[in-house]
Amino acid sequence: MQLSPNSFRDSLGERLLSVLWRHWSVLGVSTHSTMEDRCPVDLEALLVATVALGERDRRLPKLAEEWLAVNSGMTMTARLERMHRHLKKLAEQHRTEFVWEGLDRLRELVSASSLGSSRRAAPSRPAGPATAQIMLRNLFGINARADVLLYLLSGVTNSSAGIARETWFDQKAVYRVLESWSNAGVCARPGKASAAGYRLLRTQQWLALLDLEGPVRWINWGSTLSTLLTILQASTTLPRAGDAYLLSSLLRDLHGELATTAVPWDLTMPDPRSSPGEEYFQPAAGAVLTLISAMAGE
Amino acid sequence: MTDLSLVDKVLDMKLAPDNIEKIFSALERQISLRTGERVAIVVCGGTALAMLDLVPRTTKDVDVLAWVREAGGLVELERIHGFPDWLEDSAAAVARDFGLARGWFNAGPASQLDLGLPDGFEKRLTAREYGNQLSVYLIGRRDQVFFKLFAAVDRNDYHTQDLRALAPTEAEMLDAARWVLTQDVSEPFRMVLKDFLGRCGYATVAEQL
Repeated sequence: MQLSPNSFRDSLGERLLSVLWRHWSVLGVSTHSTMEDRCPVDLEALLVATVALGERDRRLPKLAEEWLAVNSGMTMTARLERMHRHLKKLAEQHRTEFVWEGLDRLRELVSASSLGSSRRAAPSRPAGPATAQIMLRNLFGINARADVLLYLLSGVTNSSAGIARETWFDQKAVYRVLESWSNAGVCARPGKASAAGYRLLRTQQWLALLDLEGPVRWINWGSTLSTLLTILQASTTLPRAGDAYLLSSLLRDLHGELATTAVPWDLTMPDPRSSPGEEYFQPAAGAVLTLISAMAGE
Repeated sequence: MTDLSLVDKVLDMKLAPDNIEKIFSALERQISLRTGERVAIVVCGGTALAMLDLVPRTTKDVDVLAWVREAGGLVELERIHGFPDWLEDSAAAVARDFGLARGWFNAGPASQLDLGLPDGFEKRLTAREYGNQLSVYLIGRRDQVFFKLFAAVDRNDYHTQDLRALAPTEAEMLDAARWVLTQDVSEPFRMVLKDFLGRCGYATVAEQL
């Protein structure tokens, strides 16, 4: 079936909202959505996306406020700001912009939260991969350790800079964590020739200890949601709105990001060289909807 | 932002009568994404030949001769001294999207404005509009004959083939030859031109130079 630019925009918007509701569901929010159950939910990425999509669903920013009011001390201002800056910059690079209504209020709440109320949230749902970030933040405190361990539980080997990019922390902070863990025998540090980076030792024992089944399926939600939100916002505003050629061009621009995003979902994006001009819109837009459907559990 | 790394890898597509309109339309939309400015240009070469159905052939680039300043139904030509960044970036995006060669949109013939154009050149332009922001003025058949003769004189390539396909009359060729001699006034060039005309079946024109 032919996909029009407008039906692409509408489907993308609906499915992105479904993804966010699935993630909020993990955090104990009562919704009709099925709960995300395979990938760790990322609090700061969810908050940034919630504000970015706030215009489309007014309930989202409100429930973020309510959640932060109850679950103080679980989120990090620096990480939130880093992700916000990334999305803002990505949007600017692709000549679109977000309204960011409610961002200041969210910042206040996160900042107050980060300053350290003694209240900590317990995962309101059974433990599992989706709540792993909260569980580990409860275990390690609100610092890089929880997110770095979560990333390494996916079984990857990466440099400190690479891990910092994936987890949205400062490279020095990540490096210090990795070095101390290497000294403690928790991590293997990069060898002179063999290993390309740090990796977790005794991963299976960690997974068993944390009651996680199998390697964690790591999704860089900050990056993933930024890419999809940028496409949605661009497809909503002129001159791209309703223009299959300009949207196809944007999907070519973002091909690298989309291809990377698709990998953990065992999906691929069509080669931009396969179809000239506007002809790329159909296969690429279809692939983006397939990708977001996978994230939405459809 | 356009990923230029893909530009040279794609389909190696050429501009052809069946895709030129799409490509100019795409260029206009890329321009609209980057600026509110209007662009009006004079296009010569193979693109103009194909768009006016004078010589329906493919070409790898669009030769932009000049800017056009439009005022009160009149057009005035202006020398191009490089394209602004937003136009370069727009053209690069179209190149990537359609698999065109880097530099497909170029101001290679811009210096022709310094050397002078045939009389009445502006009146023979044919305008094509793309959206609200791009006007493409195609040079007329007579001017194609003039330019093609100048380009073909010392070469035996596609310019010569284009000139033959345009099939100028003897009178047109004589006018073209006289104009070409204003572009290069040297005696050796006049001899080369006469030789070329003789070889192309225009010996009587050559005798009049």
